[in-house]
Amino acid sequence: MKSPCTIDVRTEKTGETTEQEQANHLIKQALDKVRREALRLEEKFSRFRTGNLVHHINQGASVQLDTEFEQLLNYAKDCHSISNGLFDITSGPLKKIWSFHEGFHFPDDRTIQKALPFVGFDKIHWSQSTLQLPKGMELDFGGLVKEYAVDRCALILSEKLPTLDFLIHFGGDLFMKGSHTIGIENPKKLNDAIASIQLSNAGIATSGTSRQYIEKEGVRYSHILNPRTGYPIENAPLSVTVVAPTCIEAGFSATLAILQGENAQAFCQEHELTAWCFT
Amino acid sequence: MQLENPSLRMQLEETSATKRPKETSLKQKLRAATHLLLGATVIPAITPAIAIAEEPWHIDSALLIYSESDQRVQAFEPTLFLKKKYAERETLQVKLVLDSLTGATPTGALPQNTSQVFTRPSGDGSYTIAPQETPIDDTFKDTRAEINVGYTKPWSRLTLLNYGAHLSREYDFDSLGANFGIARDINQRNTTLNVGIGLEMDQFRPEGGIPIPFSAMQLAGTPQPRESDSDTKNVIDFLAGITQVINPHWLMQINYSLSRSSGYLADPFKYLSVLEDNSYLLAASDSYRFEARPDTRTKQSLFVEHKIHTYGDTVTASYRYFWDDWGIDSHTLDLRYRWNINSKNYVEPHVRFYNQSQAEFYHPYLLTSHVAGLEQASADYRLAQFDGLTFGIKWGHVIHAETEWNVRIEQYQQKGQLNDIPAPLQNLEIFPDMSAMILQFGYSFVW
Repeated sequence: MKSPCTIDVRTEKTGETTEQEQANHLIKQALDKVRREALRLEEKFSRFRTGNLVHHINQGASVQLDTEFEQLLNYAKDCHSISNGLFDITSGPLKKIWSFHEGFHFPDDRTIQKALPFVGFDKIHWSQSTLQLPKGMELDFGGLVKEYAVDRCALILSEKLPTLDFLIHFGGDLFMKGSHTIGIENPKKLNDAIASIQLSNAGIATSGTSRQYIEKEGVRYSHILNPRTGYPIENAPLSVTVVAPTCIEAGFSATLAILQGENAQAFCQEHELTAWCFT
Repeated sequence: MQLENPSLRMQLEETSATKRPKETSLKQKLRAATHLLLGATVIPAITPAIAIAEEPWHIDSALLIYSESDQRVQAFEPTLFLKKKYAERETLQVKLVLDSLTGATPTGALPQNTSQVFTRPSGDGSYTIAPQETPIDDTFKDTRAEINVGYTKPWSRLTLLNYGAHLSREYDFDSLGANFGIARDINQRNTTLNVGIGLEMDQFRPEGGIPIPFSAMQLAGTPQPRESDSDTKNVIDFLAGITQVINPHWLMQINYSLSRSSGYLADPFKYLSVLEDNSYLLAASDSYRFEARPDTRTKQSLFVEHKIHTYGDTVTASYRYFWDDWGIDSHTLDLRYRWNINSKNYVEPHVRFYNQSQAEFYHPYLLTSHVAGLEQASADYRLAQFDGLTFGIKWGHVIHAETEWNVRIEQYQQKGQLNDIPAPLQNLEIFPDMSAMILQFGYSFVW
């Protein structure tokens, strides 16, 4: 993972008694397990690695899915349905057209229309744990796997260290057990906290922290894409931070909110999300 | 006039929970899906209990001690600056100042080789100044209280409005003012344009009343030449500026300001010595005349400031050019270097160079032959040609986030530049050079 990942475990006492040494040993063991789990998930679901399941799937091969992969795929399907198609892990072909790099030109409608047939979660099917993608389509778990990793690590720690509070922080996605005070950062002025909040047993995720956008004829196009139209969301907030019972729910909610563009704030209010929209 | 120059800002909007019943809400559907994915979660899925800490007041308190050499002005000034955020771009600022001045200040009269007697402004008493001593008077001493309130709020995504008011009161002077400004971000928020306007109304009720301009000081106990008990002054200010982010480490600001005052602009406690043409001795009669200044003044200034962040420290360099229709123009060069020694301590050396030319009607003294032809004249050293040099250092210590104390010590030296001093006056201090010591203690915290 490219972003900084930290895990803080809150211990009651420091000291060098045998009891404390044993406790520290257990903590170290648990943290090792968590670290291995995080690396495992990264290797398994990253679309930048060659030779993993995702790579084979994106090459068009017919692949046998394991339980975990199928569960995450089912989750992506639920997300697709709950979001009425806005949350879509098959939108890779569109991302390539809209990458705001040096020398970027606003694509014409024809280019977009040509890519759309290869986008759409409803176009993929799997049965008896076997999946083969239609030609030209690809899967990208980037929008889910980091938050999933946070939650998986939280489960491991909770099981191995049942009496201790902790805070897992994987590059902007968090889960905390026990009561913690955290600061919500201003994404444009890092280290300048907007608000200080006290949370217990919750996940936090932020969507849209990239500052990339382009302006054309007075409309600001963010890098967040609408997979149904093929175009970026107009006038989306710069980022949305959501608090939820798990990190993955926070992540999905934050992504769905930012996909509402100008109506992100209203969307959060309507669905009673605990959220902060930064414009 | 205080105008906020906002740097790049963000809009924070917080949701408020409005209860609306929904059949299998989004949250519920998501919860169910997550349950399938993560299995029976060992961590109890409590709806997060959030206690959001309300934005606190950020308070800067300070105590300034100012002390001029030669028993001149001493000032003791506690201030309190409070700031509170109500939303990301909405802030309230309140400034409270208490100013206590003691000591004495030069009246503009020239020292003489013999002792001199001056009538107090009240007309009831007099005081004597020893030979070769600069005449100073302590009538101005007073305590002043001031409150300044400002509010900033967003008008649109890129525009901020700011408005404020101030009230200042002391025994013989009241000031009331209001200001309004607009700031707009353009150029992907790398540039901020600022305009502002301010209005001020002042009333002066000096001890003894307002002297008739150019009238001669009379002996104590006799009727003094006064035209009224009080007078007023109005000021209108205009400011336009640009703040530009040159790169992530370098911020620049350019401001232009225009100010027009009208009304009573003189100092009722200041006068000029009238000397005989050839001997340069004090005139036998009407030796001291109250000053007379124009009743309007238009001031303009151009200000440029650069703030550069380098190697963890910050350099701030600014230059101001000022000019007015009284003939004064001045240059101010200010440099400071904030050296962040470590995360808890910083040291900030500071140097400021100031130079001003004299007002057209500034005269350190008058000759009897001049008096008839003049409409305005003042010997107030603040309108003379002089250089000022300030240097000092500030030390700040951060106790923890948002809490800091700091100490600042500075020295100011002022030297007049007078040309062609006639021989008989060369042993006298025509311009009251001055040095002052400034000591300030500050404590910033949140509440």
